Amino acid sequence: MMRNFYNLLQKGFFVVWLVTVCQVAVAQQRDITGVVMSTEGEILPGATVSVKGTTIGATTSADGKFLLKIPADAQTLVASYIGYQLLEMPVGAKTYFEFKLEADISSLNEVVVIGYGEVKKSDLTGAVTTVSPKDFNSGVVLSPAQLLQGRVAGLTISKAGGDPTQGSSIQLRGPSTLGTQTSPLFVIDGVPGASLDLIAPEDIVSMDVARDAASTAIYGTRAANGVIFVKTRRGKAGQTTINYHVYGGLEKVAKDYDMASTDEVRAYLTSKGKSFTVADDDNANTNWQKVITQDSYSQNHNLSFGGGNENSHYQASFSYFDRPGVVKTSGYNRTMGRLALDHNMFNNKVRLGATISNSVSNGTPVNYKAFEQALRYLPVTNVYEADGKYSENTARPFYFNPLAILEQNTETYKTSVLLGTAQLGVTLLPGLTFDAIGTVQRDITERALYQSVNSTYARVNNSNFNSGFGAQNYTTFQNKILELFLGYSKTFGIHDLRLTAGYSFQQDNYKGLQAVTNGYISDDLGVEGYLAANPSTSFTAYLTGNAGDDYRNFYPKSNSQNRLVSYYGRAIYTLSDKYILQAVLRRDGSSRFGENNKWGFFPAVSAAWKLSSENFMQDLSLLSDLKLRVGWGVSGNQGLNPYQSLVRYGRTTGAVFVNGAWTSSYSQVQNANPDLKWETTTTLNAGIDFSLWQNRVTGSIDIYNKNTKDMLFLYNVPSPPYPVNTIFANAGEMVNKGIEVAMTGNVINKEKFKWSVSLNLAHNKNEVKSLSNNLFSKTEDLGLGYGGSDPGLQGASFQTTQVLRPGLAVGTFYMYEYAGIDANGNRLYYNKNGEAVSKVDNKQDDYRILGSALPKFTYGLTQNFNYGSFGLTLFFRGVSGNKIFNAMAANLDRLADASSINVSKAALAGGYTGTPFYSSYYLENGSYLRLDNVTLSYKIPQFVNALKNATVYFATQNVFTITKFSGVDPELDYSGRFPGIVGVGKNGINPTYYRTRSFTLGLNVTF
Amino acid sequence: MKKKLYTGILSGCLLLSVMGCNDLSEVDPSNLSGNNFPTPNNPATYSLLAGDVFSQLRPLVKNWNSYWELVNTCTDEMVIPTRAGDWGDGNMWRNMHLHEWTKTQNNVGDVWNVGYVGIGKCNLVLKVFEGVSESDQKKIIVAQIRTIRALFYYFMMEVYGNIPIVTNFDETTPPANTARTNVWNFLVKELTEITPILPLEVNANTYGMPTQWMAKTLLAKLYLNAKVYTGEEKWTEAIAACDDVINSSKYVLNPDYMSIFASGNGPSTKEIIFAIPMDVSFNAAELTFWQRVLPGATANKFRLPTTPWNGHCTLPEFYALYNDPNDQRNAQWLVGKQTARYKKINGQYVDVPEYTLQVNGADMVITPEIPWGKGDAVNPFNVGNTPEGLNAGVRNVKYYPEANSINNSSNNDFVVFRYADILLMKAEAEARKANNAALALPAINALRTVRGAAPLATATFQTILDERGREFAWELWRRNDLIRFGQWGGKWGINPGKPDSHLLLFPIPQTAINANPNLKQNPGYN
Repeated sequence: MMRNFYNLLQKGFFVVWLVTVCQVAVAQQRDITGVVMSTEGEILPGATVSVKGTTIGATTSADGKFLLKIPADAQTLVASYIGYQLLEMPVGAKTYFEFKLEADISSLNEVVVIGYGEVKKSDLTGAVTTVSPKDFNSGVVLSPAQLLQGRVAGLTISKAGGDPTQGSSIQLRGPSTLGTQTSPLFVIDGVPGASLDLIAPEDIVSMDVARDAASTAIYGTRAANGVIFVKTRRGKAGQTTINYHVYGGLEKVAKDYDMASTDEVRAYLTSKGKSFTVADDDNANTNWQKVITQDSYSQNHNLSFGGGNENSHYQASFSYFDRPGVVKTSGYNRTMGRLALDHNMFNNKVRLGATISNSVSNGTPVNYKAFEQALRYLPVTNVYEADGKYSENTARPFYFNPLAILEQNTETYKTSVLLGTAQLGVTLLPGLTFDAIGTVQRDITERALYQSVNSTYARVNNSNFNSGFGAQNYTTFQNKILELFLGYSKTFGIHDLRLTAGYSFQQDNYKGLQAVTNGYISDDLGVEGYLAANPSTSFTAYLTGNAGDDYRNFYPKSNSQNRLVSYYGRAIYTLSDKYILQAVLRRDGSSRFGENNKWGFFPAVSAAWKLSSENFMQDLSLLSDLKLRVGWGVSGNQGLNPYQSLVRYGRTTGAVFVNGAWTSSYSQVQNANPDLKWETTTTLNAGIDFSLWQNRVTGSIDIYNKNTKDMLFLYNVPSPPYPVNTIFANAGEMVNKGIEVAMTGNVINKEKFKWSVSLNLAHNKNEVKSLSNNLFSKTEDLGLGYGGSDPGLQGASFQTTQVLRPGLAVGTFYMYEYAGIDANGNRLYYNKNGEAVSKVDNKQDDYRILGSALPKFTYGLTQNFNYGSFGLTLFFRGVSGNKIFNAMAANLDRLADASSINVSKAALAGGYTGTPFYSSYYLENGSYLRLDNVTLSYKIPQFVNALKNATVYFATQNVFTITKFSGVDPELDYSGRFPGIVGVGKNGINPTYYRTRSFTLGLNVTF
Repeated sequence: MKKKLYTGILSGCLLLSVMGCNDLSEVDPSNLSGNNFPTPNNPATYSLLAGDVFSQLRPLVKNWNSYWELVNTCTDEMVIPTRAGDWGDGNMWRNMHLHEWTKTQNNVGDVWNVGYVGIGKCNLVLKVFEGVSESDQKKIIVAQIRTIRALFYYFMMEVYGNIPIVTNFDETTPPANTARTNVWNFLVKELTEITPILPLEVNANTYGMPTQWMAKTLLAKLYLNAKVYTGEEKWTEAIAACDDVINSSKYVLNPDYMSIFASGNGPSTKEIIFAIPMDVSFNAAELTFWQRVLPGATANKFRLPTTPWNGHCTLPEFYALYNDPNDQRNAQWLVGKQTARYKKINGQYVDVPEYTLQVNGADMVITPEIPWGKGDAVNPFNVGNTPEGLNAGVRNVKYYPEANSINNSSNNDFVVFRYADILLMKAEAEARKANNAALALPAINALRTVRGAAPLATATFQTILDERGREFAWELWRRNDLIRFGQWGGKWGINPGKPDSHLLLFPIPQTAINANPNLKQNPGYN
């Protein structure tokens, strides 16, 4: 492979040399001028005018004008501009040309990024969806991922709750891994895996979501979850453009739990001959959920400007985003700056680019256990004691003042990300280009956790006696990427050939240190007072933790390095602009893989047939465009940490008493697995793109079969012979099958009034085929305990809610089925014989398969109305056919304990006095339909000449949600081994942070 | 033109230069891995590895799903009733009490893992030591590790019966079951072979490590229960093993019963033959005895750092064995009205006048009786969370809580073998050999005298069992004793009595069978 590659290179350079020699004689030239505008007369600066079949061209200046030297034999000029149809004009003897471009509604001529190159949308052979700024969700938007939410069929972006410090989870075409790496690969301006934190939503020009392996295989072992190509704003020739976007948002808790008030609980207790204890009873009526929440005011500013002359362009932007959370003490803010420079030399034959960007984000996450406590803490108790201290009742286990948890356990982090990219593009000879992209990214994260010396919560959970607890860590991450690739394109007659071949190198380095102490003598200095503490700081290995725990963010990567080296090639062959054939091959080598499996091959082939270009289709006036696509490809997921294939030794927890003294000891903690490798996903995709009635209706339909094997999983192995009784290995198989439909219709397209509708709908069916390979077998995984499917309901340890089993979908609920109540009001459950009984033994034999947490359908619906200068967008999205297990509802259903922990109104109404356990009584319909966004905008008339555009808008997010789910919000993370469970904050499954409803007023002006 | 040529050459060079970075080998910079540990030229690295074998003993008595709970909650001496929402734990404790345990139950799987991870670690260390040059010191450490492995195998055989035996680390075929008789043969042979190499001294240096006497005690256990394990009686051999320990004169009965177990027990406690050392300050403490057992409010009585969880208690019929008011061994039980002289104020315990502890507004009065079914109309195992339910069941404070300890773990070393057991085992073996229970009376009375209890006039085999019950409550032997005395499957608590013989063994955990297809389930559990 490598030798061939060298040969290819050598030949390439030989050709370059030859051609340059032959091109010495320059043909005669003449000057022409002209202007490019829209059919409506709007000047189009930055449009391209070129001589057809050559690389000779120019871009228009701010007034839409261009000047071009053309060869005497030039035949045809072509003008192009994004969003407009190409226009050709014969040259003849004219010297002045006026191009009037027609807006391209079909957008088929838009270019789509396909990795190491671009193609016209109409030439795509795979399933790719482009989302451009006009489709973006407006409102308080944290990350670019949120802009895509509900916009792409098959791409499920969900965010459980409104935590400002947490991102969204992204899943493409159902779960294809049981691991944690479920997010697609983001390729930002050609840089794979660059940080999304560096991109302000305003700086994005387009996002192309590649969904099938035919489109993603070029990114090999990282592409199984799809690839999203992000293109950002770059400067254009012409007058400087200045854009300022500002908005302010008000966020409120959209919904909270319906908890009983003091009077209701007291009335219930009295009726049962019970009462509150003296220690609790302050005769208060505290709404603890109100106590821990607040209204939040967020703001965003983005200022950008760009411009340049014919050869040099620049674009700079600066943005600030601040979003306090609706839960007290939580919040997030981010400051970003970005500068992009481009320079063209030698008649555009050499293209240089440089980008530098920096972001600094600060976050204060909260401990999710506060949510459980806000529900359980008795309303009869005041927030504070008479002496101003937080109320606490230490005699009761698992019972803490929720406000104290928030205010006495503070966590902060500060991440700064610096990215520099240099790009070089050279046209070596007509059709042959060489590109180099080099990137260095450096992240520095500082985290601190401080627990007050007075924190009861910290004392009980961390056994630190009034001495507080402080942890600080400092992590650096450095990522180096080099991409080198050659592109060649040639048209001969009806044949068109495009070749790409390249090499990619990536190296990531992590390094971090942490120090902790618990010897604080007062809160005066906070976490920084570690030198005053006794003992003062000691270095420790990293604390481990899970999201939502005390140390949720305190699990940075330990010191490590990993490398990814790749060779890739792609060929696209087009015949008569009707038949397109594409083949891709990538070879990836990753240091994370085991000794025997360092390198993997990822091939893909796909084809498309532009049916509407066939002569026999020309008579069908109804159909303006029709294309059939089919593709097959292999992609991988390398979602594993470095060093997982090696034998590792670790210090045993606790010393041992050997030969009369306490000493340390070491043991093997990881089995060797030299066969460890990537997860392999093979996708077969077939699709149809169509456009009807002169592009009034456009759409596409895709069906797919996605098969993942060699899933990475922690297997139980017998010990002995294995020294450690688990091994991280590849085994098992999972299939996702589905269909995706996307349609856009311009229902009314009058000059004054426009109405368009976009709909996307996806159906996915997931099935686990196997959890075994020839070495390791697993019949099922019930996921007991930490990180499993037991949400940590008190008194229900070692019961399960879900099962992972061949033949069933991921997220299949597996528990007792509720069978109503008997004459005495006792709850009944079905046993294995189908009888409804009140006494159950918690034996698996009785459990039933009760539906899945994965939605059958996900959909989004956008309605755009334009009347004159007014615009109105309504955006609905939702899922259906899934279930949610509401462990929180079970946790609040403890009437027997009503004197010591609060209960829900539903529990009072239900009157159940037994101990809640996992059954379908708490299993709820998870379908929802949400009016996610309503935006009303007004385009301010051009009242000064310099003003190019000014729009003011008012947006409301999460307007309403129609659902049967009784919890705070039905939108949950659908990834992971056991999705769709609302936990109580134990066993790693958390309650949801309150979802917000936001009201945003924004202004967007361009000069 | 030339410029272009140079550009081409330069980019070619660039391309070639980066192609050299294709090294994909891995070295973990911060952890010891197979290629750098243990280091042959640094002998200390070998002993670091050996120490790990001993640390694996602690999980046998750890906080959660321990061997200690497995062998005790299925007997009449310990029960963990469900108290309203607490301690339901998927009916695990109810199953233990009713002898309805399942092969998927968590503690059945966890105990197996603790044992077999321990055995695996022993095999690994023995394998690594093959690379160390021969010396007397090596001989001793190898013999000690084989003894610890034998102890793990003994515990596994005791509860699971037909267990797989692996003695060679390089064996990679998942092992099949070995019949219990053959496990017994293997252990007797192994211990007989290595005992002479083990240390004879009993002092701080050998504390917590196998000595000849520890190995003999384990042999005595094997011989005393040989009838159960193999069907063959080995009374003479049991007597001989006990005699060896007695004649060594290394051990005496502690005049103060409670100090055998109190924090600070250790090499100077002359009754201890083998213990698992614990020390909170060395993070070597998995024993959270009081945290799991005591009622919450007793934190004030004992000045505890955390609120206890109110779990384990004993059954009234077992507590009834303590019928001599002068018996020192009564002190291990917490019963009746509970008072305290301390109160936590601003996070510190301060002295206050004695007051009665409260449970949900009522006085805390711990009762032997357990109000079965009071917490749940359909689940008799649930005693509810009224004061009556929360106070139910006498608690054991054998491993007496240490005031103001650092956390909820204990400094008390866990006692595995002790001299009183040797004396009672010998007495029982002699009585059984002659089929005359009265022969055990002198040894029983000698023990009772040291414990402050009045001597008994006569003895039956029931007398021997009862005395063992009183002496070894909440240690590791009640299940073993009940089986040997033919009283397994008896009626206690809400267990109506289950005579099925397959219940004499626990099932091989399903997780182990899933991981190892060569394993067969014990009879009666498929």
